[in-house]
Formats: sequence, structure tokens, C-alpha cells
Amino acid sequence: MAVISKKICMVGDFGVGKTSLIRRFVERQFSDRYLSTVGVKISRKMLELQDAQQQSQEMKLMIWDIEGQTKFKAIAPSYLQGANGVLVVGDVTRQETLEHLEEQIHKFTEINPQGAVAVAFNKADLLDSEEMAYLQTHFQLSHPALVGTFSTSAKTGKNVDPIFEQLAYQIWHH
Amino acid sequence: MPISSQNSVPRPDLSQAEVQSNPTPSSPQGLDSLEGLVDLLDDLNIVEESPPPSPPPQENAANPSPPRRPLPPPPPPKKPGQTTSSKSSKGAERPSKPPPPPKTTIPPQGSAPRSESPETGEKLRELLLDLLDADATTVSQEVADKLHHLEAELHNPQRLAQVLEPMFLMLLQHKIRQSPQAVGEMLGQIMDVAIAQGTKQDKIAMSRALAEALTLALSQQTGNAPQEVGQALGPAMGRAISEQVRLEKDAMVDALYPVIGHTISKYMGETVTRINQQVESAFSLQGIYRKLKSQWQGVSEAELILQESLPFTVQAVFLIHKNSGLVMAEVQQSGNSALEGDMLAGMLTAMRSFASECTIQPENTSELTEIDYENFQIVMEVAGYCYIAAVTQGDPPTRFYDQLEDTLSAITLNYNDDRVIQDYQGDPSTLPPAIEELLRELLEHPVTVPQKRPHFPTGLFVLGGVVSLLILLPVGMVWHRQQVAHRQEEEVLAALEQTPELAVYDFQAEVQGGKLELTGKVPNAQLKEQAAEIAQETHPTLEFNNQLLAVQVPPNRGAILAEMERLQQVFNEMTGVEITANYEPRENRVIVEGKVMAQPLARQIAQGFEQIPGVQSVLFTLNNQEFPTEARIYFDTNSADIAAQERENKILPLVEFLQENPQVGLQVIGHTDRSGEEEYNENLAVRRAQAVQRAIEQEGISRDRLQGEGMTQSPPTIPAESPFWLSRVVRFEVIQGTDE
Ligand SMILES: Nc1nc2c(ncn2[C@@H]2O[C@H](COP(=O)(O)OP(=O)(O)O)[C@@H](O)[C@H]2O)c(=O)[nH]1
Ligand SMILES: [Mg+2]
Repeated sequence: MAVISKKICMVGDFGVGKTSLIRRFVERQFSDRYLSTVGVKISRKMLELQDAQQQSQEMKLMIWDIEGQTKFKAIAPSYLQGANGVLVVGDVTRQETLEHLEEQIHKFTEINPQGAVAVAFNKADLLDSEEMAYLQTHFQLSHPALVGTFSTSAKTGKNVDPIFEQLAYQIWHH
Repeated sequence: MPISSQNSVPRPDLSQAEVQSNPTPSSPQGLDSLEGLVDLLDDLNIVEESPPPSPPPQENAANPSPPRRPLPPPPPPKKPGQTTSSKSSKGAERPSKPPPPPKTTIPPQGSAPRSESPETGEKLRELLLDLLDADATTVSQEVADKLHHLEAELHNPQRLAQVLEPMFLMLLQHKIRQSPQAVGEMLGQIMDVAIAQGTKQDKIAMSRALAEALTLALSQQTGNAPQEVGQALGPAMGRAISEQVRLEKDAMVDALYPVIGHTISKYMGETVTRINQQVESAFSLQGIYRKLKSQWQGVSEAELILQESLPFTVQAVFLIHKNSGLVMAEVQQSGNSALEGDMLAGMLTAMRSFASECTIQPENTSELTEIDYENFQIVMEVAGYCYIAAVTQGDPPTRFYDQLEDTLSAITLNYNDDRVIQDYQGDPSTLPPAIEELLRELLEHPVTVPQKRPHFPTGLFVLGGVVSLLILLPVGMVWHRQQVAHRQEEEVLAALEQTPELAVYDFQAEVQGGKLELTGKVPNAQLKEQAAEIAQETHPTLEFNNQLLAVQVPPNRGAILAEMERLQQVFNEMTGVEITANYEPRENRVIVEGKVMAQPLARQIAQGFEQIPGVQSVLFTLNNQEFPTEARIYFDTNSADIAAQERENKILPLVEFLQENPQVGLQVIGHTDRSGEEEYNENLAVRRAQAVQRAIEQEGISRDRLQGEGMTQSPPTIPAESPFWLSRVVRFEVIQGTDE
């Protein structure tokens, strides 16, 4: 079967680790250096998906990384248009970024009602598991399009592949 | 919002890219252009018709001065980031400019060191002496006193300046009244120095002062010698635009460059050095400049292109989904290192939205349609849900844009069944393979004949805000001269386009020096003759040169589509025709869908489409069932009573149709099945027809429009072995009334 291509977007405040998550996922790398993303940046990753019936599908993810939007202005809807899924990212060390998650999900699903949503509580390596557990219950999110909430770390690689793969799988078997 | 690109490869920092971009002006328009400007200034009426200045007396023999003095060299290129643009967002970081020094006619000593001063000083002194001498008798006592005073104060330069200023002016005025020629000559020699100095002191004030004079002078000179103005301004303008864009880099070019430069250079295998040169002429200033130059100088753009660029080739063509930026179809030259279409498509899509966000006026819905690098471009043609991006090398001829447009409209018109294009979900196999074939045609058979019609790719208007200030003035001036010729050319082309037989061919008309030359290809000598006649009639006063070729040409697809559309419109205006025509390029076939009320009409329509040059066949897929005139009223055995549902479903819509189309008349034909007596059947058939006729009349349709008739056979379309009930009908035939 032919490769299908899908566009997914990264959304989240400035500095939460969107770019780092992509780098981990696509290039298997992490850097402490902060590379600010200007505008939009596109990366590509091939995935081989398989479902319970052993059917497989090659998927080409085109990942759009969008500049952090709190600092200057809202994300342009045109960047979100035509996306099949979104990874909404918050930084567990900065509560306010988690408070924005809901609104960010809303914004995406408004433009892409059919799109799938995954949420990353990123930089999980900086908190202990107790604190993480607290945050995840405290910032409980629910949305029909939500695939799942993951505690991730771009630094250690924790849950990075799973979150992207879950999102891709959801998009495929939508 | 600015954009950057990221492939799976780390990219250099933005700042790095900036540093690499060496802002030294590109060489082709170096000193030459300045010299041109100086020549121009000299020729302008700023200095009244003065003879060429004689060499200054204290000429340094080892350093003979050139016949024309060049302006002092331009200020050194600014470092990136250090900019004088007031729009720069980094304004606060810039070192603030020192306030302009007070304007004085003679700069106070100790200000800028003046290497030219010995000569200039000497001149001024001479002038002063001359003035004093010539006017000794009329100089007032006041002046004499002041002069006296002056002597005493000579050692104090500041004081000297103060004292000298009003007097100097007075004397000068006087002298000018007496012999303007001499003053002009004198001032002419120091004008360049004065301007340079003034500029150094207060650039803005100087520009303001000069601008007024220049504008007037330019417009006058443009009338006198437009060619010269064009030549002189051309190169300088290129530089000016280049400079301007460089200053605006913060705002836009800077943001876009890393994307374009980086992505493209990687894909095109261009060297980094090369790309850095491109920063200099960001957005192909070369390209813009060339287009302007062609406007100014009346040289066809094509000639300029030939002079400076590679033959035009298409490297790759992509069909891209507008929303998601996903590639829907792509074709590439074989042997090329494959372009990564998906990345390119994503970036282009992001940039396009960036560009549209950047347009200031909301009503200005301009699209980014061209990204231009000296030797390769990405040309885009945009439709509602998708766009084509063609990566080309060499400057695209104007007709290539038309070809793109045709291809895209063929795709969107013919292959968007079930909304496969707008609802594209990333699976190329959902799209008809014919799309790829259309793209391949662009790749393999791009039109390469440039057409001489002014055509600014709309993409350039993205830069409009930046360059418009600079180009408005000169374009406005030279435009006029070109206008007359252009208008005549357009008139000839319009006349040809209005002739149906000729409308589908491409003609080029060129008016120059009272001559009209017509070029192009037509399929036979007769059409050639006809075209020539029409062209000549349009402008009988012009000497006519017929360069048309009579050869078998494949007509261009755009023309076919256009003609098809026109015919479709014509036919749809006829009563009882509701069709859409689609073109199938592979078979050169027109497919007509919809409804046609009567057979003769369908024949007429078929003939119409067949006559379009290049169309091989016409295929009808008509659905006439929906026409109320196609309805058949069924009857029970031996009955002429109209059933209620037949009345409701068939007669009433038919009446409505007749009301809407008052020129249509109907033949109402009653039929019977084959059972029963012939005589009885005859009567029954007529009764059925009359019943229907009456029913129609009762709804307000005039009897004159209906002719009744009875037949004892089955209707022509019902085969003999069919069930009987199919023949117990009344059917209708349309009588085209006033239409024919
Ligand atoms: N410790 C830790 N630091 C992270 C993680 N993800 C990102 N960072 C750091 O957070 C900063 C911002 O990351 P970046 O990916 O540029 O954020 P973005 O603005 O959302 O793209 C950088 O200094 C990263 O090194 C993570 O999972 N753990
Ligand atoms: Mg980032």
C-alpha cells in the first residue's frame, strides 16, 4: 500500500520543549541549548504502523513546529489548517503553560474538528514521580479528540516515541 | 510572522547566515552606474546649459582628472543589523545618530577635513575677488565697512564665517543677476563637492532639497531623452532597490531567506557561496531589475533574458494541497538528484501563508506566486484547494505562466470528483493518475517561446511595499513613451482574439518605429492571410510586416479551454440546454454532461465543440430524464384519463417549464399499444393526446403552443418486444419557436 502523508502540528507555549521533542523523535538527539524557533519549521518522519489485524501502513509524518505563541501573538490559523493531529505540549515546571493546554486544544479542534490530539507533560525528568502524579490529576484534561496525556521527557526520551506513535495510529484508524 | 526551515539536518544559525551575507553591492552595477547617474545629473537642467568646465588651473599633472567627475564613493556598506531603516524593529539597539549640524553655507573650520579644499578654496576666493572687483562701484558702504571689519577678524574662523555669510549671499545674488553664466560655470565645478558635503552633514535635508529639483528635472529630461534616463537610472535603480531590501531585511527578507536559501540550496545542490550572493539580490533583484529595465528601455524582456540566462527548463513540478502542504502529485526530471518534494511543499505552504499574512491591506488578497533566484525559480499557480509549484531554471517565459494556469484549471475542473482534491487526506492513490500526466507535460514540454506582453508575476507584488516608492517615479515617466506602442499592440491582439477562427492561436504583435510586425503560428495560409488583414485594418497607418508562419500547430490548451467555456455559455443560453463541458487532454476529447432538450440541439452542440481546433471528438453523457419535456404520461388500458400522480409529477412541471420558456411549443403525441383494433386505437391515441393538451391548457398555457397528434405504434424508442404499458403513453416533442 502506498505511503500516506499526514500533517501534524506542535502547539504550546514558548520554551516548553516542542522543538526538543521533535529533535528527539526525528534525530534521536537532545540539546540543552535553547534554539528559538522562528515562525514555522517542518520535519519529517516515516512510521511503520501496524494494527491488531496485522495490517500495516507506512505513514509519512510532516511535523510542523510552531513558534511559541504566548510571547508575541496567537498562532495563525493557516499553520494549523489541514493538520490531522496535534501534539499540545506543556512544561511541568511552569504551571502556567499547563493552564494554557485546554485553550490550545480548543483552538486546534476548532480549525480541525476531525483532528486527533495528544498532550505532553514535558520535562518530566525534572520532577519526581509524586509531583508528576499530582500534576496529572490536577490538570486533568478531557476532550473527545484527546488520544491521551503522556508525561514525556525530550531529555531522557521517555514516552517520546509512544506519544507520536499513538497520535499517528489514531490518525490512521480514525 | 517570520519563518525558518528545518530539515532533518541541523541548520546554521540565523545570525550566521546574516554574517555570511556580504552586503557589498553586486559588481555589475558598480561605478558604471554611478558614472551614469553623474552623466545624467550633468545633463539635467540643474546647472544651466553650461559649456564643459575647463580644467582647474592647479591641475595636478600626475593625477589628470577624468572628463566627468565621479561622485564621491558611496558610504561604506553597513554592517548587518546596523541600519537606517526607521521600520527596523531593532531601532533601539542602533547607536543613535548625532543630531545634524547646523546648516551653514560655509562649514566652520575644523569640521570635516576637506582634502579638496585647496582647489575649492582657491575657486571661492577667486569668485569673491571677482565679485568684489566687478561690483566695486555699487557695493554699499555697509559692505565696505564689513570688509574692513573682516580683515581684522580673519584670524578668527568662526567669526569670519558669521560675518561672511550674509555678505557672501548678497554678493552672490548680485553676481547672479549680472552674469548667471559665470556663476553657473563656477558653481558647476563645485556642485558635486557641495552635494557630497551637504549629504554628509544632513542626508535627509539634502535629499529633500534635491528631490524636488530632481523630480522636475527628471520629468523634463524624460521628455527630451527618455532612453538616456532609462539607461542611466536602470543600473542605479537596481542598486537602490537592492539597498532598500537589504535595509528591510529585518522585516522580511531576513526571515524568509534562511528558509528559501537553505531549503533550495540543499535541494538544488547549489554552493553556499552562490546562495550568499543571492541574499544580496534577495528575491531576485536581478529579476525585478530586469523586468523594470525592460519596461524602461523598451527591450523585450525576452531579449534581456537571452542575454543573461540559461535556457528555460522545468526541473520539477508539484501539485500541493493548499491547507496541509502535503504533496498530491509530483514529477521530476530524471537524472536530477531528487528534490525532496514533501519538505519543499511544506515550506512553500508555510511561506505562502506567511506572505499572505504580511500583506497589509486585508482587501489585498495577493498570493505569493513566485520565488525567484537568479538561475532558478519556484513558480506557483494557485487554485482554491491546491496549487502547482514548478521549480524552473532560467527565467520562465510569460507563456509558461499561462500554461501553468491551464494545467491547474484542467486539474481542478476535471479531476475534483467527489472533492478528492479539497478533501485530500495524504493518500496519493485517491487521486486520478491523469493528474500526474498533466504535470509531466509541464515538465517535458514547457512552452519556451517568450511572448511579448508585459506581465508582472503577482508574486513580485509581495515586495511592492518595499520597492514601490523607488520605482513609481521612473516607471511612471518612461511608461508613457511605451504606452502608445503597447496600446497599439494590444489593439491588434484584441482584434485577432475577437475573430473566432483566430482566437485560439497565439500571436505576438510588435510596434516599433511606425512598423507593425505580427508573428505567430497558424495552421494554414488562409488563416495567415486573414490574420494579416485584421491586423492591418486595426492600424492602417503602420507599415505592416507579416511574419506569421502557416504550419500545423498543436493549439494551446488554454485556448481550447477558453473556447470550450465560451461555447458552453453560448449553448446554455439556448432554451432546453443545460450542459457542462469538460476537456480530456489525453484524448483531446470534450465530454459534455447535462441536459439537452432535443436531438437536433445535441447535434448542433457536438458540431460546435468539434470545431474547436485540437479537439478530436465530443462525447455526450446526457441525462435528459430530468427535462419535463422528456416526461411520458402513462395510461391504463383503453383509458384516456390522466392519473393524479401523472398530473402532479409530470404535467405540472411541464407547465412550469412552458411558462419559463414562452418561445417553446410542444407536439403532444398520443400512443397506444399494439393490442386491439387499429381504428379504435387511432381514436384512443388522439383522445389521450387531447386529454393531455387540455390538462396543460387548464394550467394557463395557450392552445397555440400545443399541437396534438395520435399514433397507433409504440414511441420510436420503445422496441416492439417491450411490455405493452410502455406504449400506452403521451410523449412530447419540442417545437423550437422563435429560436430558429
Ligand atoms: N530537562 C529538560 N529540558 C528540556 C526538555 N525539553 C526541552 N528542554 C529544554 O527546554 C528549553 C526549551 O526547549 P525547546 O524545545 O526549544 O522549546 P520550544 O520553544 O517549545 O520549542 C531548551 O533549553 C531545552 O533544552 C526536557 O524534557 N527536559
Ligand atoms: Mg521551538
